[in-house]
Amino acid sequence: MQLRSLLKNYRDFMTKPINPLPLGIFRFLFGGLTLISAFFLWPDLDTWFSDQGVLPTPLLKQMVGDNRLTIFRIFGSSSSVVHFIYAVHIAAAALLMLGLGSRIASVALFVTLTSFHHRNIYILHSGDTIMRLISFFLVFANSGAAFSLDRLWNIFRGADTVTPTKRIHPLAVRLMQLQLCIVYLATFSWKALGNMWIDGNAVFVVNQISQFERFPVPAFMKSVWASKALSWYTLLAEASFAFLVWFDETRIFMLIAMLILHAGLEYTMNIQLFQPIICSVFVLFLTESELRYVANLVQKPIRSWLNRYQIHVFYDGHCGFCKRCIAVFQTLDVFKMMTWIDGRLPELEIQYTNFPRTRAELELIILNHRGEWLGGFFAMRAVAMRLPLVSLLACLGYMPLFPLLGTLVYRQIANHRPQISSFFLRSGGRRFTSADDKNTF
Amino acid sequence: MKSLTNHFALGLATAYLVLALVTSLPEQFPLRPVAMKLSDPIFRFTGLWQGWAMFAPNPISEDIYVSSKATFTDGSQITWELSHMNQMSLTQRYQMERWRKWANDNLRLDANKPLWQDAARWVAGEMERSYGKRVESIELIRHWQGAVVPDSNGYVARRGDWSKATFYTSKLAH
Repeated sequence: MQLRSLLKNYRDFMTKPINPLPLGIFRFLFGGLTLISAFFLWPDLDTWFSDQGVLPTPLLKQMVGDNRLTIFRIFGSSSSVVHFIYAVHIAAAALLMLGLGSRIASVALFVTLTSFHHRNIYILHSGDTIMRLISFFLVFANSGAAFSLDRLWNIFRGADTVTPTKRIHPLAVRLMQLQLCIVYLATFSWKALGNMWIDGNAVFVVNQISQFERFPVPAFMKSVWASKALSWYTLLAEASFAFLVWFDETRIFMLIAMLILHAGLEYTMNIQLFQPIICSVFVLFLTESELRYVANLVQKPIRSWLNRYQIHVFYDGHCGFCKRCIAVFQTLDVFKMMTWIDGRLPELEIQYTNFPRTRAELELIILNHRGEWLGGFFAMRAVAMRLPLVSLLACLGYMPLFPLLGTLVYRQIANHRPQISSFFLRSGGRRFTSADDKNTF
Repeated sequence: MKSLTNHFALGLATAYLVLALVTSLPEQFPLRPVAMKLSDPIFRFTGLWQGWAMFAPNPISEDIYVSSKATFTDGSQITWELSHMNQMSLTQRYQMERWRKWANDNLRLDANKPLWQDAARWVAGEMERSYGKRVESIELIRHWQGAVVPDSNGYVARRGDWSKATFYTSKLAH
């Protein structure tokens, strides 16, 4: 009976749906780190990857063989091919970070990243290995289900709700979590064979290797006894992570312990992006409520400061297209600076002085913090300024000519809402009707 | 059908985890040779190969960098320190970390001798572009200084001086 229950627990662990938010945030971080890593490669692209560089293709084949996945095998390694694949790589990383076409982006990222890695293995460090493995697992993950433009698009299409309810298959996430455990277990196993680590002298030796130096290390941290403490701390943390991270009582403690270790390494050692890459995986060990708690810590003071700029937004509640747009805006309104009101409600004239009823049926209306009624483009601009994702872009709306242009564009969209709704219906979106939208909010 | 797919996926995932763990452990682990034989071709092809002996079993105990010395046809010589990281600025050394990996961890090794010729050719090309003169020969030079390990009483001996040795010379045909 015990083996059976163990297998059942394992199966549940690997297959029971989970909240997608940790994966969504991880995807954003990972995409960003991959982008940064790629930007560091830009000045030396031809040196490392083209046939005019330090490792022409015949030499590569002689050294590592010909049996590795790489696009360069098919298209060659001329400078133009290298730059083209690099451009695809950058685009894939950017799209993955934004969560737009997440699945396709993750496939493209894995293929291009692995191709670059297999094109020149002599410039790779362990952070690259982790990146490559993670990019493989992401191919099988529904990483666009949260914190992504894909989710915003699904909300607009009616395939998702403002309040997240979706759960995702956990297999890819579990693979990433367990891969991290393998990393720490394996490195501990290797270190345990080394007398310098056991004696506590390993950090003392590493401190003398000036080629790794980054920021200055205080003299007392370079002492023999500090070295022993740090060496044994490293061994203990790496040995225990794979086990203690799975218990609620010790999970956060282990993550903090490893963060401290990696923060120290990031300060003292010049290994490009290794610490951020490995620490980004820690996000997958956090729960949705923990992530929301951290987000709230950041948002709360900002929200209370921005409270003075609160606006009331009145939309046409009989317009399915409008309600879809509002659903997207609601999702983006992270600082809760707007109150969303159906402009068709009959009691609004009682609640709001001079409520512009007729205007509200034709365009978006807001009542701003100064008590002014704004409509159309000006209302949209006020809304956009309060959405962190687009607020910088919204500043363009204050430049000369933009209000005129914006008003014309807004009017066209407002006048053609039925046609726009039909277009999205034909494109596979759900029908934009008010009856259909009952469950949106 | 969906259940079968789920079971298959779970089986594959479990197999990967077991093989990844066993092949990442030290060579002394009994099942490692079998796991390597099973997984190596697939891992090597797909990019799932991995090794986690970071600063292990013992960290590298020599401070190392590689330089190159170009002799031009007019007799002048220029030395280019390819991977002397602590001579670079903070931002430069972070961006050029790949150079350290390539030169210090790989190029300078005798096991990677086949890399030397193309490295020298590339350095010569860069020198010619930078100085506008023909390069007659390129030397690749290792520099190293040993690290000291405290003894059992905590006593630390004085570090030795830097040493250097040319490990490859290439005469370029013109």
